[in-house]
Amino acid sequence: MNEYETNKESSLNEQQLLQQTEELVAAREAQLDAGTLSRLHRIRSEALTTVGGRPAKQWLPVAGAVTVAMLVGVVLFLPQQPANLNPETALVTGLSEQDLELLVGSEDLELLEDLEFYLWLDSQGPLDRPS
Amino acid sequence: MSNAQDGGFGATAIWASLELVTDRRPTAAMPLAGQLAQQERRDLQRQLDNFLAEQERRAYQMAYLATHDREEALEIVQDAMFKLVQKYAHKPAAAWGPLFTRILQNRIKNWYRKRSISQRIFSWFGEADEQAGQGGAEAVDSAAPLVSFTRPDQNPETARFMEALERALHGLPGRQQQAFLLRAVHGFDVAETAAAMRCSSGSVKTHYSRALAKLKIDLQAFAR
Repeated sequence: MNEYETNKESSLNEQQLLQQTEELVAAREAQLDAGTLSRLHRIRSEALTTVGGRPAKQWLPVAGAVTVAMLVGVVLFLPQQPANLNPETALVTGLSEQDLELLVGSEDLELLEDLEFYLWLDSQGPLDRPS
Repeated sequence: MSNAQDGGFGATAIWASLELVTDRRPTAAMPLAGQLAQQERRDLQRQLDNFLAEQERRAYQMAYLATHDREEALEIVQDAMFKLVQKYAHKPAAAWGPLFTRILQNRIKNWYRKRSISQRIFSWFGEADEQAGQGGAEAVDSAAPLVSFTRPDQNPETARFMEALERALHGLPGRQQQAFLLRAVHGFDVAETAAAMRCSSGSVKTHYSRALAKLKIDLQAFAR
């Protein structure tokens, strides 16, 4: 039964068109040039190398977790900062428990991605604030 | 589609495991679990290789009829293959066919979308032709040369018809072309076409009937 509900008068033409189209595609498949076939083969081989492999982005959360763990370890095992630091310096160089909670608890990895920037900022010394 | 359609994904894996246990002994460097995992991976790769080898020519032709550009068509096939392998290799082999068709059709649809957008952008700068922005391949120059598939033994009339048919297929708007080709080439019914195109059955019928009407008009010269 023809589900496409074309009228009976045109059904013969429709069948012809469908058949000719199928033949056309089959003919073109059979006549693909060697260069295209070679490319297709290469694409297939490359795709198959990814079987069982993790997509590249999947290791990002793991890397983030490792970075956080290392950060926590460094903060916990480093000696306490001198108590006479001014507040501006403490903001940058010292990490309070609250900071750690923010770092560990946050699901957003944006901060971790900017870690290099914050470390650089830390190395620049106390922040100069406009008076 | 011997391996892909036999539904023997589980059976193959079991046979592979049995073969390992009976024929190969674990070495010190590679424990049994590791060997099993490697063997399963190789087995899966082999099945996927067979499946994709059977699909690649047709997939390329479907993409080429849409894009009329070799590189674009190859890129579409590449995207579809990578997505199938990376995301759906673990699915039963019997599901690979429908999945691959759907992924491929989705990639072709995206190509149409990107093309439509770029045509609109260019039309703002007055660089597109009058047909730009109609969402399909109809903007392609109808006189553009096609790669001829004429055989020496082929009737010249048939050859002319086939070339005209290819040109007419290429001239169909994207969704109409997809609906018609899925029916003609894959033999899909309305429901299967709707699943592959991710649209309703009603839309498929509309696209298909419009495609048919346009093809009949375009090929009127060949009507007897």
